[in-house]
Amino acid sequence: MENKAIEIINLHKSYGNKEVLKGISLSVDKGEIFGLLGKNGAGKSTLIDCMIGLKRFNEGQILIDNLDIKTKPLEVKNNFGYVPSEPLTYEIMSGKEYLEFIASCYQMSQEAFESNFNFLKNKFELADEDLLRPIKEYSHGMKQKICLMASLIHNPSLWVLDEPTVGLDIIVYETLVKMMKSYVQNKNTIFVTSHNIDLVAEICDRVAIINDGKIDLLIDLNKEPFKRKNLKTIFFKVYGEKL
Amino acid sequence: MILDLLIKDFKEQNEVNKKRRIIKIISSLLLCALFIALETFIFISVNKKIEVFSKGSNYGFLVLFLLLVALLAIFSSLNKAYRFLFNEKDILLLSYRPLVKDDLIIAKFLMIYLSETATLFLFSFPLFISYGINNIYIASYYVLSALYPFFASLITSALTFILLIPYKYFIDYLKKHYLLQILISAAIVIVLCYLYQFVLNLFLNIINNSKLDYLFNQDFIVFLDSLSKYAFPLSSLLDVFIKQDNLLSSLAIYLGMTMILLALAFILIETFYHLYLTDSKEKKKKQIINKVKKDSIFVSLIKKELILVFRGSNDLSSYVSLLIMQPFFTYVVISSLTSLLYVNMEMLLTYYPELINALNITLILLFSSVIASQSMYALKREGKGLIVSKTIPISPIYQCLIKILIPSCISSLSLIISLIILISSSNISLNVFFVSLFLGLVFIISLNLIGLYDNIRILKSRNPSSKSSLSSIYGLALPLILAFIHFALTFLKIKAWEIYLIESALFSALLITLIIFFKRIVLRGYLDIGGELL
Repeated sequence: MENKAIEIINLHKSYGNKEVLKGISLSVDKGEIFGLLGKNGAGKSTLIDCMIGLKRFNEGQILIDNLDIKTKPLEVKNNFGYVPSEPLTYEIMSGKEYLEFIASCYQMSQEAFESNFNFLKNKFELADEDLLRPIKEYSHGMKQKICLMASLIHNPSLWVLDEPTVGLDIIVYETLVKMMKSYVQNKNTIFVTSHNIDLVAEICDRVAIINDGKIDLLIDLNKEPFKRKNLKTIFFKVYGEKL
Repeated sequence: MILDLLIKDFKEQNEVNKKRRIIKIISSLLLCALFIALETFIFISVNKKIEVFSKGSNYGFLVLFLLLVALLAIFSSLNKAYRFLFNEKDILLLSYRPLVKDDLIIAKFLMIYLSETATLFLFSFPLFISYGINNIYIASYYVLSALYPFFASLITSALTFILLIPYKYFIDYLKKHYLLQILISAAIVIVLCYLYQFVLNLFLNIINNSKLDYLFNQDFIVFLDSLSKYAFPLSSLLDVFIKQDNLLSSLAIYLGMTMILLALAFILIETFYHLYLTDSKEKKKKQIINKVKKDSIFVSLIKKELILVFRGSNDLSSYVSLLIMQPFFTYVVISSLTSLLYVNMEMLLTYYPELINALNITLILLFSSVIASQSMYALKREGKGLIVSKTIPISPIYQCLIKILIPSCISSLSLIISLIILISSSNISLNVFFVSLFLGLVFIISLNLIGLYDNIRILKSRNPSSKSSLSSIYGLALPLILAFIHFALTFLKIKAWEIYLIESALFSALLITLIIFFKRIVLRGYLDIGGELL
């Protein structure tokens, strides 16, 4: 239990009469990159929304760093950084204002904020004049960069990414992959959902495939490395399709 | 192509929702009808008085009115033209299409021309008819005067286009300077309030059949006479339509002048627009971030709210407007109503002096509800950022409290200014001042709480077109219920201080109940708001 970053037990979630998550149970170890695959509408984003306290769930338990999201939501929120599937920010703010706002919300020390700000700014190659412009004027890729920066600015121990590569150019994509790999070096954890099976196959330690609100398959890619190459075929097989 | 672009712009102007479009059309028509009725009434009445004073000055008075209507058309179109020509989405959509730039400008010009023609037709044609009836003109005059808006709007549209360039620079500069925005909004509201008071006085004087000596002195008549001579080129056009003398030469002078202005407008706009389209993307100032600074949670949330409320929306000007308008209208309405009631209901007020206080407190609360209505969109203002607010480690209750803090403070400030004006002009007593202050503050806070609940309810319903109905009903109903209680207790011969005590106790109980429910409402409702539709 001590070694678990995420523990989901028998999670049920319905929208009205439609049950979207039908008793999901899974756990993610500290220091691993965990990938969640599934076709559109399979319940990936709903699972993340429940996990980070964006949505209520009907039944089950979610523990992040041994803290229950239902009873200790603020403590849990302190521990993760979240990248949504589409860039969500206060677009009326400038990039700098937004990052200052996020850093203030997490009550970071001034020194840590300054050092993280400069590190991430250089990593994602955002120029000062861009950071001083309102986010609404940014391109999709730049908005995604700001979301990535905001999710890491407070040094979270868990990084939750929902379709993080949409709209990123190849250079930023590669930067992101490198960052994800180096992020877990320090016993940090990543939970990522993506349609990009190549990305998941390249970086994830374990992968779960969600189908019809249930975990259909769980693969340890470190124990079964040959499955990295065949992940696409396995994915199609789960859904009864041929590649 | 021009026609296609014109149709596109016209469609964009229309409300997509059919129900709302009908309501918008009906309310606009009603508003126009009211304005025309007031305009013609004042015009005819004042004209009659001018006739008595100086027989030949009616024509000058018509010119004055037509000039004002033309100015109204120009200034009301400036913002429309700004939105048409510098709409970034529109530019983005059209910039890569095989369009001739001149077609684009001509289509925008035609849109402005049609809109100004409609404005001039609505507001000038009734004046021509009134003037014609007064001076017993023949039928051809009325037919001809219907053509006036089509000619006059050529010149007003050209002037709109010429003024558009300095207007754009001014607006862009204004967008970056919030203090200047506040000052200009305040100045505009003060001028509008003064105009309102002037028209209201004029209207009341006309109804009372007063002499209007303060208006019609020799200087004003000389001004009217000179205006009709020097209002060039409008005077040439009026020579054609009204005097009908030197028809050809007057028309030639007007059309010549119009052509010059149109050519100037097109040259200026074409050059400027070309520069704007090519430079807007390339122009980037080299700026450096010297320091990033984190704040306390309270300061950062307040800063965020101020940015959401005041930046990039009309909220800043509407808050400033309401801040000035509430004290002004409260004072105007209460002072005129008090004097009216004292004249007509002296006997009743001698026996029941509390009735006037009940009326005053009710009006103060009703005006407070108007300014507080701005806060009804506190959560909706978050837009997509609502998801961000749900992921940060700050309690939703604390976030919601900060959300209603700013509108509550602005509404309270407006209430305090109104009350200070009322007490310093002896329109209310010290007792009423304190009671109104207490009831007003409680009312504002409760209204904001209900507004927040309304907001959550609407966002949960996933219908973005829903309106905040509960808070509107509450804002209107509570002052009226209070008035009813006050009247009833007054007629039951309950002492004034006891009435105030009962009302304060009722309001306090209501607020406490709302605060108790607040935590539940926010905690239960906040997680159910998806934000997907924002």
